[in-house]
Amino acid sequence: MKPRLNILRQCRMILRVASWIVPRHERAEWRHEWEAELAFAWQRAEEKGQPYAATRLRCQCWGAFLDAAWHRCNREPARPTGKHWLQRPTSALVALAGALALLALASGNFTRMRSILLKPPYFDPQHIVTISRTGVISSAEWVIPYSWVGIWRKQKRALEGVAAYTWKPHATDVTIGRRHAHIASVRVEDDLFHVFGVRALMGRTFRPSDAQDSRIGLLLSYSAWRRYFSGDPNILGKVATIDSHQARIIGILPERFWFPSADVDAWQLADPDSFSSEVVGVVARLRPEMSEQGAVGALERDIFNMTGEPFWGRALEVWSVQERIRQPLISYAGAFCISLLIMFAALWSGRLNLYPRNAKVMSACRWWTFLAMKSSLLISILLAAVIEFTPEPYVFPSGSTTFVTESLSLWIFSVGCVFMLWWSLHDQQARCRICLRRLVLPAHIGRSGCLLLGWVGTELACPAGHGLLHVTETDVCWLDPARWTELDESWDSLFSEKTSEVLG
Amino acid sequence: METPVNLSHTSALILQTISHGYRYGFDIMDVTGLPSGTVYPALRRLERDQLIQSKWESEAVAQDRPQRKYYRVTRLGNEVLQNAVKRYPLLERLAPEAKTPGR
Repeated sequence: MKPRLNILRQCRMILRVASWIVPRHERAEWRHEWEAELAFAWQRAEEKGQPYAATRLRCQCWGAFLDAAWHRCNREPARPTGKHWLQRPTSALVALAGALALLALASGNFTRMRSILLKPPYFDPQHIVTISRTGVISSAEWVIPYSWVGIWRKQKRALEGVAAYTWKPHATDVTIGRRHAHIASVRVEDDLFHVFGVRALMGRTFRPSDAQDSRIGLLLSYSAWRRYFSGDPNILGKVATIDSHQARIIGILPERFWFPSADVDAWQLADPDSFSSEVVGVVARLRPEMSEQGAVGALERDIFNMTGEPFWGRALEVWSVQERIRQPLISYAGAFCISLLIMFAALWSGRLNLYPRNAKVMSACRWWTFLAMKSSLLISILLAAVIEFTPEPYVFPSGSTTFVTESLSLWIFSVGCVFMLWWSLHDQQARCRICLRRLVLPAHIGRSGCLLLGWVGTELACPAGHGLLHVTETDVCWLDPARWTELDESWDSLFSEKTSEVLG
Repeated sequence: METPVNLSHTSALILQTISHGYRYGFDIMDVTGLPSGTVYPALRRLERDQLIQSKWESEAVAQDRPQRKYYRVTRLGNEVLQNAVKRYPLLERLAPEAKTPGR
């Protein structure tokens, strides 16, 4: 008898689980019907003493899932279901996550974001620094005469290696055979990849002897090689035309390597003679025992000894590449903190009256979790959009002014941050305090001229009938600006499905 | 003029079974041999289209067991069934008459 009783228990368990699929207002009746049938069939099987009937009953109970699914999918008309879904908090989160996914797709899987957030793809990056000159022109702090690079290379007191580069942030045309690409390139010295400690994925990096070659050497990024040249394995040694000059492809760099920007896809070997009259960006590898502060003194002494040019104050700046890469993030974090303070001030002031003070713990958790998730997604979207689609703030000295572009990105982020958080709070205020659905049925109540005894404002209702929100039109000292009134179960009939359909 | 309801063979068989006096879901499953996952959704559709009507049996009938829900064919259901029998002539043979209607 015991195994058969167990089957009855299993059948009831199946029905209980299936009942969770049925909409809540139909669940009790649905389960009663199935359990009554089960009880009757069980009783009849007991009376007739049919040993296989119990097992067959269990099979029949599995069909309850299909019946429950029918109740869930077919009972409610399609239009209100879609409309109701839009009111739910999950729809907001899904829409925001979708927007973030679209951004990822449009930006090639957050190329710039990854270059800032992930560890720099250089060997021993804590010893790699940029050398720039401060106090010359506030917006062009990096200008270094190329002659100084030669001095530091000869002295080698503070640096293991040093390399110069020039970078103009506009794309150039590269043609290899019949294939054309419009890519950004940078002119570098042969020592640059030695400073970074990077080896080529295919082929090799630059050598000093390449400068003697009649055709300049050219390195391509992994992404450009795959995207524009279909990952051609025979690309090495081919002659490319870059801005009407001939160059020879000598290597493909590793997939994660980037310098000086994630947008740069080609590195040309520069002729040192062409650098002699230019101001250049400089990257260097410090000796292991040398600190950044010590390097500044040593490098300034080298220049003073060789040229006799005095440095007034701290004219040279040696700055770790790791810190430099994360610098934009620190600026964005600062802007975010200021926006957060504004949001907290708005919350603390009580003007929004977002959440009832005597609410249950679970409701409070749901409420704050939703607000946090929504705000985080909004800020992530904004940050990704600013980093990926605004003019890039230059991480490495570029030899041209960056002041305007850095400020532009930061300003867009700062203003956008305040706007996004404000929208998040505004959206939160327009949601039910219990189920987080968007409030509906706005009704204007009162007359502006009669503020003495009554109030003037808009009343909104939760579609599930959990409560009403009264938003005042005019601030009055004896009224909350937004008052939430919770409704008890006696109001349920007014908010039934049919009523909602009638009200639209 | 109302749109004529075209029943599938399975729905017509279930409607015929109910009209023959098998009024409970599990009884219909026993008679037709159809699984519960077919019978119950079909019953819901028939009820939605107002071809059958459901009611809870009285406590007196149920006595000491839970009250069951039974189904009966409406006037519209009978009209539709007559048309279905013309379309599916074998229907009469597939669904036998109950010995005691409304058992």
